[in-house]
Amino acid sequence: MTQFEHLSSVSSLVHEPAPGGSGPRIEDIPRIALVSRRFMELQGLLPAAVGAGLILSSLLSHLVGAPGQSGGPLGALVFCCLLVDPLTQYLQRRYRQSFGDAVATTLQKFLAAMPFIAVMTGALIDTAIYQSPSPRPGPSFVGIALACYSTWVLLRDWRWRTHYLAALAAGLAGIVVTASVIPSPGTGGIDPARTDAFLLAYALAGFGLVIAGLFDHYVLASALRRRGSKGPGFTQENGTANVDTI
Amino acid sequence: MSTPFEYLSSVNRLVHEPARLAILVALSACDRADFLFLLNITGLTKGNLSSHLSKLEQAGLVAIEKKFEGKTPITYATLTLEGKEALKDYWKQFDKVRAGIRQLKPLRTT
Repeated sequence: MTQFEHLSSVSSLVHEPAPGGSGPRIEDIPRIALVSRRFMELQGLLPAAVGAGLILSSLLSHLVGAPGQSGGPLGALVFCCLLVDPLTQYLQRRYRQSFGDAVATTLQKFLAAMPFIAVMTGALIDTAIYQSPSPRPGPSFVGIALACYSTWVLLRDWRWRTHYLAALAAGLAGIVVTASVIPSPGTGGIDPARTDAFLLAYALAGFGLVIAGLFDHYVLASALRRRGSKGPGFTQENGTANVDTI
Repeated sequence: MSTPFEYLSSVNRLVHEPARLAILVALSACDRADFLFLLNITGLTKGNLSSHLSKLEQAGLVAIEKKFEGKTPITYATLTLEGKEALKDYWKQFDKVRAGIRQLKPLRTT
């Protein structure tokens, strides 16, 4: 919608009710349109949880000696999924309780799930290549997927989601780290140096997701902050939300 | 050709009011939204939001659906086809007003 094109910075997303009265002003309309459209994408604690899960599972995999075992980085991802699934369900419930529910269209749901889809698809491709009888050198597809997704977000919303530069940098770092390690021939799926490089790339991707997710959450919380909401937490009855409690 | 002021006078007043416009814009950006989301995004009080939603519902621009999730009542609002059309027409009028104002020339004084 061309009416909203002048929206240019995070500061313009912060909700400032009109002095002396509640309710939106005409200049709030772009903020309302953008936040409503990106409501699911801006629920940043969900990708942040996935990122934290990736960091933790990569670290644990490294500590328990996964690089010396067959399967390599795959174990870290399975562990990450197990770890993060209940947490994301809890966070979704909390978001709904705090900010309400704007039921997304199918396309919006797909776009919100893109970071997870990108990372998991990249990891599956990595695993397939890693476990092939003759592994070829090359970058981690998780890094590539994260870099592509971050670039797309930056191109679309660069004025108010510049924090995706951190995710882009993390993705690129992951690509460099994994591309610089050449697979050892004839190791039968066990290549500790390469596995370590992949685990580091996943941890970097996780770090990028945590940063981007936390800032997305900040943008959402700033845009939906209700002045005068008192007391901790939220109740469905009084309809107020305290964004700091989620 | 109509002047921007003529376009302004023909703008739908029901949609033009900022609070109602905010509600319609929020609903146009998603499938449907619950009362709490609309409260948060518009910054209206519960009474004001309820009143504006009633007006929009009476005009047929918004459909209200009340549900129970467990024991909690939840009110969902959806933009109707008529509402989508009204909002589209409003933005068209708005664009005409803007374009008209841009074409206005200042009066020359000697």
